[in-house]
Amino acid sequence: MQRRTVLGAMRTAAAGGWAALVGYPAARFLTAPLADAQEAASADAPFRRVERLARLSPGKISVAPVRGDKTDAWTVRRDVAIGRVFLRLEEEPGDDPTGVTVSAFNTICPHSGCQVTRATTEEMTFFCGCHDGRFGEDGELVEAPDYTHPSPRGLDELPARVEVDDATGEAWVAVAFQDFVVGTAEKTPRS
Amino acid sequence: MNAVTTWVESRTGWTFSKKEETAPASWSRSLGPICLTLLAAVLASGVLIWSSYAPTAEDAWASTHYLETAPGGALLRGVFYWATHALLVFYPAYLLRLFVTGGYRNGRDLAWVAAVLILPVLVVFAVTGNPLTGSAKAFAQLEVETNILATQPVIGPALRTVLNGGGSVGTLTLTRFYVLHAVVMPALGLLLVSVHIWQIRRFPEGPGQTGSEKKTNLDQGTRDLLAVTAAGIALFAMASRFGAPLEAPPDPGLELLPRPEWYFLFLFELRTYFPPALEFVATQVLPGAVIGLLVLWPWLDRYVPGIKFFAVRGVLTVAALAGWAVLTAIPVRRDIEDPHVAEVAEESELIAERAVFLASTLGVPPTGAVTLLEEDPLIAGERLFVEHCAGCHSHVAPDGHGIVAAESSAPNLHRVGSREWVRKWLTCGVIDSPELMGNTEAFGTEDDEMVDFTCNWLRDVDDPDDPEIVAEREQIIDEAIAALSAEAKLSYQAALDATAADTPAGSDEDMTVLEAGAEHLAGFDIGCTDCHAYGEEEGGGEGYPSLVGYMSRDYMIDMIANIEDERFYGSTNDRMPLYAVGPEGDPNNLLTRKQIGLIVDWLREDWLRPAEASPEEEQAAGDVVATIND
Repeated sequence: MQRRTVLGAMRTAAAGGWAALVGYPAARFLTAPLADAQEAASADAPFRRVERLARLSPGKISVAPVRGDKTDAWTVRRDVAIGRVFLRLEEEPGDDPTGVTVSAFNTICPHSGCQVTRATTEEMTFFCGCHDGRFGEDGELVEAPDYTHPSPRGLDELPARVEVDDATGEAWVAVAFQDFVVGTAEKTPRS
Repeated sequence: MNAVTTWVESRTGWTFSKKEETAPASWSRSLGPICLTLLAAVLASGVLIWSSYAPTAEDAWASTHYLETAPGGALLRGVFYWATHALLVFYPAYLLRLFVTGGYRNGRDLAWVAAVLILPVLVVFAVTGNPLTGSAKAFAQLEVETNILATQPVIGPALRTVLNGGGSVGTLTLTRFYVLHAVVMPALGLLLVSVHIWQIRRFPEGPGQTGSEKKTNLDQGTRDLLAVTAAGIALFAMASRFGAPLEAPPDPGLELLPRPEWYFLFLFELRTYFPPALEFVATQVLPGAVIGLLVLWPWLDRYVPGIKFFAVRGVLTVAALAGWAVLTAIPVRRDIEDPHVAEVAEESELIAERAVFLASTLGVPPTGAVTLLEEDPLIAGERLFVEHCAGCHSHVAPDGHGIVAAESSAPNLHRVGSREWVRKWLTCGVIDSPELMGNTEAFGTEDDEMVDFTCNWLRDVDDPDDPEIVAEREQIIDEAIAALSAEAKLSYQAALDATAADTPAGSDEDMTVLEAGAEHLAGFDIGCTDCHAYGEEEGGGEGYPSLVGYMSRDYMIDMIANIEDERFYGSTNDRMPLYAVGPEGDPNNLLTRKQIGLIVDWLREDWLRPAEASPEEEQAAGDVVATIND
């Protein structure tokens, strides 16, 4: 083997080593959020009390903030708004309020992540002003002639139930709140 | 000077001496120098902005606002802002000129490729730079933009997560965008600019390339000087006149319709013509393909027959410009015609103004500018009122502006506690109208003692036909109203209250208006104390709200916290929720006392105002209230 070849190989190895020295931790560091996101997505969303049942009337849609702890990088904010939900009481509560059905939807548009609002027209129940997203009463995509829906899926429905507070006996609507990856047809939780 | 240039030339191999000018002088050739000067201005002002900027969710807006208020800061931001926008006009123009005139020929293909690649660098500059102000709009734009990236098949979602620094937009998104914007892109951009300049100097523009051969009096150097000077004057004018916008800080209560900046509107529009699964074609594949085509153009020009003609490039240029203009005009027009868009924009402008005022006056707390809004009676008090009170209570001014209750069944609380408001209780036809108790079963009818008193007893004088006697009675009522309303200690009524405290009363000149009014309230004249507690007198019991400190700040807070307290309506309350019966911090309280305080301060119109507001500013503040209330 020639001295030149050996030196050439050593140079390549040294360059590769130096590149890896920075490149490996850099790649690990930059892609760390991927693993975090995966972990967060697989965690079960806890039920959070969002609204007193007494404040809802059957068939009417209301918006309620969801409160919880929010971690942003190194900062944790306790008991702040972490999102919003649309709530609709589906029937008049009977003697046992926990038996009543409440529908809950995340207010985030599954298209691009804007905030959906309640609509005031017959044609739709929910509307997103960013890219003209129209949703029906169960959050489904509105179909209309001359209209292509921008969103790949309807509003994200969330599990909701009514809980009675042990201490006060008050009935609360609790929602298993979660945000979902937007822009995809399937509903994948995100952190 | 000569010695210095000679030395530099000998050491570097560069030549500063004027080369023989072969291309004819032309104004369009000044586009390059204009772009370079703009770039220099952007870099210089950008580095200075950098020096007082903090890329965190709490601090981004606050630090931008800090710069805005620092001496020269607003102008600095203005120069940066307008120079970047100008660059986004002039650089594409420069590139188009190279394209149309065939400036990529004669060995300039490398120069051309570098020039084309600057375009996506500018796009990344804009995308990573706009959100750095940390405004509500910035975060909303970030949300949409990173979601657009994520529509790419396969790597899109991972790219979004890596860029966001997590599942959602936050501080790590800002820090990452910041590094891209302030370090990576400038390095890449400067490299490309250097390659481009090196190459066009190596392969100067030949004669005939610009198409116009006519002799002119102005040489290129003079033209460049004039053009660059004009651009500088225009930049200064825009920067000093308009500055750079600072949008509302992140505010969870603010509705937003994030729109891209003007130069990206065409992509926003183009996106709507594609089905969801193919959106990435509009936002990424097509722009990428255009860049790719431009990069390859010198070789297409050389090897593909029929492409090298000026007409081809002319048609392509006109088509591209027309397409861009149309795709930009459509969404602009749609938004102009949509009143909701205007409303949202107006609201967020008002919030921005308010936030700037509060930040300038109070400073920004460590939790960020959002706390300023959350603790501002004008903004948060009104929102809490809408959320918790406006189901039953209206807040409507006499001119009809304001919040109308969903199902009015309680008093209109506009200027609650003021003289006009107290007078309503003592005016028959008003007390039993929806303005006060009209829509309540228990209190709003003739059966109610208060209605009965106001309608049948208060103005029951010996001789109702004697105007003097009637006027005397009205004066007594006026004085009583003044005295009761003074209990509220309303800041907007302070001047009136002060006058009443040292003006002799019409009914008894030995007393001030307030003293006389207090006598009327307590004494036989009107006799409020037959039922209500007032002054030294104890009340008649449950269901008769105390008039001690009536509608003062503490009174109102206690009243909202527990309307069924014996000071207020006791068990006769049949409708109003008890908002904070438990001790402070009890999770069963509907509102905290702090939140109730915000509502009360809003109702009492006690919010921070500019120290010495001129009448116009007062008017403007009034408009803010009126508009927010609408």
